[in-house]
Amino acid sequence: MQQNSKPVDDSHQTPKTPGSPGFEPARQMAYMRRAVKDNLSRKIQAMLNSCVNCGMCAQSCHYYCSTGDSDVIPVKKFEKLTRLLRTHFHPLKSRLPFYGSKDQPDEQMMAALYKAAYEDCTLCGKCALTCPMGINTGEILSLARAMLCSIGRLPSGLVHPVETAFEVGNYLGLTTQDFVENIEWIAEELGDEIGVEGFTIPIDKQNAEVLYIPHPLEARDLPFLLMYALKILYAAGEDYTVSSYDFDTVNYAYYQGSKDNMMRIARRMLDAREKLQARSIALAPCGHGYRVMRWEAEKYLGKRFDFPPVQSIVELIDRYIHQGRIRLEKNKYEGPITYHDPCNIARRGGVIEPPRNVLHALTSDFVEMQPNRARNFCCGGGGGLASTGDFGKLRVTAGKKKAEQIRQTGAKIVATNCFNCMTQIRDLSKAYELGIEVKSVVELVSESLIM
Amino acid sequence: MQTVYYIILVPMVYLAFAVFIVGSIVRIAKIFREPPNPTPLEIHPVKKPGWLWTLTDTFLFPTVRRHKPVLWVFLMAFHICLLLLLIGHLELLADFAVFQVIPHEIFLGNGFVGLILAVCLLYFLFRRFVTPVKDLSVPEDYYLLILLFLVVIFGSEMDWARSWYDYGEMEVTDYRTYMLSLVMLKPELPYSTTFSGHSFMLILHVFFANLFLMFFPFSQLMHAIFSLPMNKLRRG
Ligand code: HEM
Ligand code: SF4
Ligand code: SF4
Repeated sequence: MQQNSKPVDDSHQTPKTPGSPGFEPARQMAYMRRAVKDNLSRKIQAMLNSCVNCGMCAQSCHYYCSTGDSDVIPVKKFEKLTRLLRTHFHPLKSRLPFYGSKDQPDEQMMAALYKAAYEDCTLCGKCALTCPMGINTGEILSLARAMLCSIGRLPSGLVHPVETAFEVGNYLGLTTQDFVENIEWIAEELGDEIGVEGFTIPIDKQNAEVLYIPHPLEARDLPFLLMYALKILYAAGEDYTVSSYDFDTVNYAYYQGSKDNMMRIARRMLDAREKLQARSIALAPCGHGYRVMRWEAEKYLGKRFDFPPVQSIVELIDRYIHQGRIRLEKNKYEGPITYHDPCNIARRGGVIEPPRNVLHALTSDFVEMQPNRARNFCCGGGGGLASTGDFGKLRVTAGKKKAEQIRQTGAKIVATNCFNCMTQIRDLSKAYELGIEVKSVVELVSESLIM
Repeated sequence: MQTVYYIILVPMVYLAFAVFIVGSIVRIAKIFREPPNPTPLEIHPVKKPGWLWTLTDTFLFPTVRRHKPVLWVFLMAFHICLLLLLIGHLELLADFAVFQVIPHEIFLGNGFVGLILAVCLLYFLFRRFVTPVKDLSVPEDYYLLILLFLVVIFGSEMDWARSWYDYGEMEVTDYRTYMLSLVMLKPELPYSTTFSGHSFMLILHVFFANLFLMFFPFSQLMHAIFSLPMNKLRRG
């Protein structure tokens, strides 16, 4: 088959990510074959073989719920990969005349795969919960992502952040010097606010109890968000520190589907802890970052970390409240508050009750979305979609289900625990005129602290 | 004509079983050939004990019950009847004391098992003509259901004839002679199986059942084998 000469959208043609050596057409197949070899595990093969075509997954996917387009039914999405694997990668079938081919799949097939893997699935895993066979379309499409990533065909939002993370150590390219300066500035501000003379934030302190890893956006553009978290740690009397070596929870390489790249970024955080000999790691609100550090990295390494499980900061807050280490002013915020479970924190991460405990401590008017907890719908901003500007419209369309869910609760404030979710829900609020405020749980807690 | 009967009732049965067994093994081997990589798949909250929840997930389809209660009723009825059917066929081979704990005539269910299966299959089939199931169904899904319907109808017919209309030309003993002889690899066709008025029912039943068995390893029917390990994966 000849490669179609139709021009490819420029945004896919972004230059090589580390780990994706290039995209000369002649060698694409070799790269993709390699990616299949590295990523096609027994589990994925089993999932590709056990679908009963029952259609249960349709209503579980927020894409289908929002658009009703049959093309985004989960089984139809991974079908595209199944077909490609059969016709172009199967050792025998790919040699059959009129059926398979060993050449580059045509542009149409590749474009369909790209759309299914990067645009039409946020890897949220909700379908796995509904499927009678437990088929996780997101997990299957990670393989498709890995294949496309190997030939450099991935959304721009997943290219530069990863490159920058490799070069500088965080996805925004914030230098250590700037970070330290910002922390010092935050310390001054925070000191003023709580009225402590000469207040400092421990940087690179050895043997601390908790190493807090902020989101680089907090450290650069939204310092008050970082201030909220640090204020809580301070109020709880926690023996904490931040690292000047790694201050990045984000791991967009995970969304590339490339496990090796993912580990390269995750390794930096592990090294940071190692250097400081901190006892544990706590992460800023970040869904996929949590998932990677709590589960994926351990599974990749094939062994447990030799320190306690990585925690999201809400888990810490829940513990502080429980132990009476912080006191909160109840009902400081008026109106009903609801909580959006980020997929990677709840269903794919396992943190389900702590944020609820925290919110119950904050308000007596807590309302649940329907469905909630592990069954919550994805906001539509997962899978790295929120990081790519071009996907704005797509995200808003796919988030219709979420917007309806939020509207039904009648909540004034939507609290959540993930940067991407916050961005996305704010966009939804604008597009669907929900008239809500979107806040991080950390912010709500910090503002209600009784010092 | 008798040659055709013979081919369907003897060599084709062996062929079907061979295809079924080899095909299934190949399909399973294809999966186990891939490296076991450490992708974590479990969905939270993880409930203990995992294996017990796995069994529930596999045999009671809780997710279907939650989202599609009507489908669930048909599914449960269908799969329970399949199980009874399997027992029924085993009893055509020999008496099993375990199955006679609840005393019954052969064939189990007095004809109703087949009826329920047929109704369920029609439901499954019609369901496939409605969105969103229509949009994701492939032709094989329809063939499979139609094929199975044919197997069930002709099988049931023999049962109905015997148990509802006192049709006495083909007896359980005849089936037993035939089936045991197949198992013993000394095929023998009792006179009634090929020369009585209802012979063609038996022939068609066996013919479609053979097709079904040969289709099995290449279709979604493999879910019968995969559902347990798959649900274990989800439970972590
Ligand atoms: C001997 C074993 C089995 C056989 C022969 C069998 C056969 C079938 C057939 C013919 C269908 C209808 C397919 C369709 O609608 O197109 C079906 C559906 C289904 N089966 Fe089984 N099954 C078996 C075991 C199991 C087991 C162990 C499970 C456990 C999860 C299971 C779960 C399902 C589900 C969830 C469906 C729904 C598919 C649909 O709605 O179309 N089956 N089965
Ligand atoms: S993982 Fe989420 S987005 Fe992807 S198909 Fe499943 S439900 Fe849809
Ligand atoms: S719910 Fe599962 S088995 Fe059913 S069609 Fe979807 S992926 Fe296939």
